[in-house]
Amino acid sequence: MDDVVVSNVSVAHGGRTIIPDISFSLKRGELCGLIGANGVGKTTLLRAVIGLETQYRGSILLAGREIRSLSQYERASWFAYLPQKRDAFVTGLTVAQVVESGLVRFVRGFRGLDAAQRRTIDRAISLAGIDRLSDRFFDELSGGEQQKVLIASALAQGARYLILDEPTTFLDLTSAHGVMQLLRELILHEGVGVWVVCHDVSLILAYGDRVLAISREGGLFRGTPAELSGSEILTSLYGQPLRMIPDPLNRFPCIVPQ
Amino acid sequence: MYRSTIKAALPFLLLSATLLVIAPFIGPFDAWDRFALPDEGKIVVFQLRLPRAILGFAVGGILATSGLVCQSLVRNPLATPTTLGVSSGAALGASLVILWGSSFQPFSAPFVGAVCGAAVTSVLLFSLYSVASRGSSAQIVLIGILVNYFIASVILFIQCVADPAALSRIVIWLIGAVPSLSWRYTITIASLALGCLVLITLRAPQLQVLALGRDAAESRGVAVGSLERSLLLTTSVGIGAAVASCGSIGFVGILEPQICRRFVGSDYRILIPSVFLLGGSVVLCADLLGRIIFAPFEVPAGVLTALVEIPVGLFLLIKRR
Repeated sequence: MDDVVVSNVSVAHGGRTIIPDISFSLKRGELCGLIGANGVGKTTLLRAVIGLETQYRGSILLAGREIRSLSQYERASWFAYLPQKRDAFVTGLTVAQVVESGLVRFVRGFRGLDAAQRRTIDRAISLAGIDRLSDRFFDELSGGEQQKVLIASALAQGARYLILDEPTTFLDLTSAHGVMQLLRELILHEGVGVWVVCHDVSLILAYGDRVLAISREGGLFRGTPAELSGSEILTSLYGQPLRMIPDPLNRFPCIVPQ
Repeated sequence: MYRSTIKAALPFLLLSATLLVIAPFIGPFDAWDRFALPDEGKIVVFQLRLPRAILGFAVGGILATSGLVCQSLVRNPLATPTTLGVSSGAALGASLVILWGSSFQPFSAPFVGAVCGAAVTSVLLFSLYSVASRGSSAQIVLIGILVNYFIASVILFIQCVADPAALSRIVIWLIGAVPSLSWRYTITIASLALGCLVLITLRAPQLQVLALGRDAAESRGVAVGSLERSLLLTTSVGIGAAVASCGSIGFVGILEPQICRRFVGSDYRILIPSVFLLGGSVVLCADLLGRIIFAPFEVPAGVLTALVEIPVGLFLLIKRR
């Protein structure tokens, strides 16, 4: 049982309800998308589920154990997280150092990584397809390359789930698809679960197995991409009539205001 | 990779060792003149200048290392003990005690005052930051600058009400100078500085990951809250000890991390000791220069640190990688 079960979770800050009563579950081997308009609490929900936001009501069970009762170390073996805001000052870190950060919970004192951990790093680097970058400085890379490095770092962490908050926001068209394809490959070959917040609904429709959508009123839609695109839910999500133009050749629908 | 960065840190080690060895022999009373070192020469070199060199080195090292810790905790290159007000907090704590008149001994009243001042300021800083619901890193720097100005005003107020004797003691001490103190005191401070260095270096991997952001570090399994608390406590004790011994030597802690990064990279296990060595060398150098340029008059080290370091730092910052 590697399931994540979220039941009746609500989050309020200073009397203001951010998330009202949400229930869903996550499975490994699936790409689950989380969509919704700006400010509906997607990031807050994400942080609550992975244990960074502790002021919630309800229960979040990881294989039957409440996340608040787990240590930092155990949580890190469940979730690898790529935050949306890079509140970061990564001056001078090399790509290899960023990837190695995924293993920081095993590091004690001055000892370096052992041979098995080295292999984990190398594997994560080659899975993410960033072999040729590993000696470069992280902050000299393009946005798409940086995102892949961070995904490699999350992979090295060896967590059951990768949690990504808007991984494609600053990426160009092909880089965004590149990241989504990489995530699909990781699900296929590594068996991880992926949960991704994304504002590009068509990316989620194209690559997702399941979709969670938070409406402006706080309601939650759970379903498959097909169910989402065949209904009026999109309109209620963004409070504006939307029209979907299907893609007859591939599976990349286009969504435009009506 | 690990080995090559160790090699990159060697210049800092050599610089420090050289300075520590030659510093006691340089000054108005020229020990080189008398090869055999008569008694007064021995006293000047081994009882006055050597402890002074070690004290200055330890203080500079701990100030620079604290600068690196502040920059890493706050994830902003502008954060240092000086800009965040922690040094002023220590200065305030000690000034208050000096008002009542007291001399410097390890763990004496001004010493405790400085450590408490630094600790209270750090705690205040991080509580304010938490109340401000963990805004951007620029916000904590802003809060720190405000705290710093507030404390500076309180110190000015104390100077206004202090009697002339206490006032001159406070002013001289605020400029920051490396005194020649007893071996016992010197060894106490030096071991304290080394202890802080070891404690901080032991947290190097975690501190390094914090560069990726608080949430990112926490989700990788770093207990960020306890890391912040333990490092703040360690640096507060270090800064307190430094300020209690040598006053508020300004401008150590901003540039050393930048300069060292260019030479040894960002492996914190190497970076932290390198920053310590460079910081120690800078203060020792400033003290040495102050002793010889207008000999027999001494220019306090606090006056010279910025003058020595800024030209070098500017040159390195402007020159491309």
